[in-house]
Amino acid sequence: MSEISSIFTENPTEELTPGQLLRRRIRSHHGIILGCLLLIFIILMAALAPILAPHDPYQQVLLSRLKPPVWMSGGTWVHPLGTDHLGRDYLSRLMYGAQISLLIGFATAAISGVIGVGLGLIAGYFGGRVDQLVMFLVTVKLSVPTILVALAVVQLVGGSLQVVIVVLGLLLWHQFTVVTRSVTMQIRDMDYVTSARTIGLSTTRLLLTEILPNITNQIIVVLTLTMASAIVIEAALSFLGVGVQPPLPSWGIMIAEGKEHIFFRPWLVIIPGVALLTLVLGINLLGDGIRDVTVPQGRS
Amino acid sequence: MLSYLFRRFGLACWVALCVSILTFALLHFSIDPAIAMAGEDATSEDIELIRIAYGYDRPIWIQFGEWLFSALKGDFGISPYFGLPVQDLILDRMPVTFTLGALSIAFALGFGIPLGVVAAIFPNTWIDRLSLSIAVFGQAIPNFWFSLLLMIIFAVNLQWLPVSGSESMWSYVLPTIVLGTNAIPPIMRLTRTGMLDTLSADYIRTAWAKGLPPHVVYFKHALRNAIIPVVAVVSIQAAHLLGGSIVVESVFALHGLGMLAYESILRSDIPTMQAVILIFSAFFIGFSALSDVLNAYFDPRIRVQ
Amino acid sequence: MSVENDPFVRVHDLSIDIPVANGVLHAVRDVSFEIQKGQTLCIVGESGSGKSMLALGIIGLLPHRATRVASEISFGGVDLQNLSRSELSMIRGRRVAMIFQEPMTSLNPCYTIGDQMIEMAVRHLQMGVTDAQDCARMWLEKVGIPASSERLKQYPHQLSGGLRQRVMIAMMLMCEPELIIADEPTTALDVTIQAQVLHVLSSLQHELGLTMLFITHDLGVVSRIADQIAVMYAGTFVEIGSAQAVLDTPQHPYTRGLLDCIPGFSTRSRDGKLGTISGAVPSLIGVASGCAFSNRCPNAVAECTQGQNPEPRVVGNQYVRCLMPKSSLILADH
Repeated sequence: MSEISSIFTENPTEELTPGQLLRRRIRSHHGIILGCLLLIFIILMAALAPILAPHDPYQQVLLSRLKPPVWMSGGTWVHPLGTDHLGRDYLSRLMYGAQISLLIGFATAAISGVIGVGLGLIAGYFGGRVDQLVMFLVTVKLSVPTILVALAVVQLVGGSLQVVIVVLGLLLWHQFTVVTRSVTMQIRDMDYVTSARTIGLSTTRLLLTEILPNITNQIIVVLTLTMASAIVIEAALSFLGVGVQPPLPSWGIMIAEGKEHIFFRPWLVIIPGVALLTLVLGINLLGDGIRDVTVPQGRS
Repeated sequence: MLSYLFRRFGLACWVALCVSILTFALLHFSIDPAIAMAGEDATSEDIELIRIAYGYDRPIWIQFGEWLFSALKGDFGISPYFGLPVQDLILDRMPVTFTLGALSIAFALGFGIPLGVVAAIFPNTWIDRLSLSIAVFGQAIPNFWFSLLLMIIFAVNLQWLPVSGSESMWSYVLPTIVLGTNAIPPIMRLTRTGMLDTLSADYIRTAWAKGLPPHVVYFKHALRNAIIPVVAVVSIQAAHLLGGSIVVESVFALHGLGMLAYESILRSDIPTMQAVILIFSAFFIGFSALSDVLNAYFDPRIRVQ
Repeated sequence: MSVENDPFVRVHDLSIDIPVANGVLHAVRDVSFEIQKGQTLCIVGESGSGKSMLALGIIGLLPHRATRVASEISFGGVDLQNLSRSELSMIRGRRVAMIFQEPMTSLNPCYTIGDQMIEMAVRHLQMGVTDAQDCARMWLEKVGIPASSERLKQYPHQLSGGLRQRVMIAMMLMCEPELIIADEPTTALDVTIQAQVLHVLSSLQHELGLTMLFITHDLGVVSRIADQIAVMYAGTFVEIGSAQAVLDTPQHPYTRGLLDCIPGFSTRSRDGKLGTISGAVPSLIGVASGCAFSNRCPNAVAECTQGQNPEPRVVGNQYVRCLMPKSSLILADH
């Protein structure tokens, strides 16, 4: 019997580490790249506002009210995006508004993340009655009309940035819980968790050091989605006159104030809306992209 | 199947009870109802009078019990702002919201399903990418701003449609587009995924081997299987639609439940707020239960849990 | 083997390539055969030999990414390569039928048996619904399914695997096609059911004078129904000839190895050990060098690994792609 190796010459397959594979997939995923760019653009706008904004966003100059943006007739580079009904520079307000939206997004996502992940870990790990209780809470939460309750509570308590953050943080945790719980249940019975238990690791440490790192990918995806929700809901609340109060330059408030002039000066409504759309689009693309890219190997 | 129905209904009742307790407590702890009713210029004597007259001085669980008891009979009290029984307000506004809801779902299905089907038949082509882009935009665009944008384009510049009000069916066009567009992305994605899975199934290969024409293979054989999970999702979307109606109705001045919710919140009209939140929650609970029941109907494994 | 009369099915130099992650997979390489009207060609090969791709390639149901090249694919005078999509869909089911391996998943779970059969008659025979129902009932009885009226109203999941395969056969034959392609139709069934289904298929074939291309890895089945046998390995036919010739005097070392594995076919003595073929099928990705079987072949010599896939030559009563077929061996058999 002759020993002759494979008669077909194959293209050599490269062996990549998981990290390299991930980086390659990220680089070829257009959604992630676009999402990142959009998000970074808005973050830069917010971070550099104190340095780059041409004017004070609260300074009213009643003589230069309702000036158009620079690309329309009557516009000047003094106010590149024009001014609002109180003569405040629109570009500066837009840039500072980015700070508000980003702050709401991150803070709310952080609060609801802590609540949601905590509940999800407990439910997934302990199972049984605890799990039933947590799932019941989730069902109750899902049955509560979020915007309606947010509107009601913020209006009644009195609108401010802090109130909005706390209220939304208490209303947006359910998706974290659902995802964390299901992944925890899968991991709970795996060997490395069992061995950690047998060497006497306390439950809290177990949850934090063994289970948590493995659900990070999914949590990041939910984080982005929750951030986007929070930003949009806050804008809607401000638009309806509830929530963050003027003269803060929330984009929602800018759109609401611009609504009065929608017939002849539509840019007052369009510009902050485009900024909002950009931010939410960027976050959504990033979240979707991360989900696509971190899908377990077998699925692709 | 029947036992699952009973269990699901039982769960829904418990949830409804909890939600009403929660919202009752939230509202009563967020603000003193007597102050809310008395208004800004009231003196402390006026406030006390109101507190006693409306029973706000009694323990909270008694107030809740009484409210719940009346609510189950359909009596939600009188609105201090509108001066009318709350149930009349609700019944008066419901048709508008139902119409808007039904039209929006029809719009979302009418665009979402065909887009999903086409994207699955031509995967990774420009058609597919266009559909996915529409989905991404539909999900990202804030509905209150989209409403204003459509208003600018169609009502102000082109003057095709009325800006606001609910006099004619034309007033429903723009709000339907706004709400429907928010619901299209999940429907389209689910249809696409379902179709992609179904099209690679053996029985579709059989259909091709039988020499059936493409439209029969795609729409009679494939879609019928692929559409099953979409039905459950539509139920959830209906609930979201309801939430969105608060903003959209207010922007377009459509006098429905959503606008009623907004108006009552602005005026701190607590009896109306309570009733509206309960109604909305009841719909949320109902839609989510319906969605679970539909899923269980199509997938017997879920019923056993 | 081409004979004096005009062969009904003609396939020449068929190759199918599929692009994959690290190259091009040559699933089918230069396959040629002809079948006389009413005869059965059995294609024998193990999993991964390309048999199913060959079948799909003939009727044009390959995956999108696959490319098909042939100098001829025709049956009954119809050139299958140059038909438009709609012409092809008219021919499928009407003049050429295909029966698949997996009866459990090959019928649509959402429609009744009757629905799925009736649409065939309506589509290809332009029958009305009542006539189509009668036709469906008649065909269910022909394949040996009693209580046909009740069966028509049932859903696929209410039938066993054997019954479903009979339904498939009835459904595919009800428009009386001229050519059937059967891709391992009995493999997924219980052994006792296999014989029944095979019997149904083969008696219908003889009744209707159908030409059949039957794909299998089961040499027992082959010996019962084949007029011609083609042995497929690594995407190509290594031996093709009349059934008698291939079974009695196999020339290609792979064929001989296959037959050696089966008691009753082996050329060894009754008390001898069962044969095995050591080694594994090579990957079909990339550029071929020499004969695909050379790494497992007991007769291989240096020339076997060089150049192209050996051309078919007449050896004995069949065509063989081999530089060292049995007849030319001067060494003793082992």
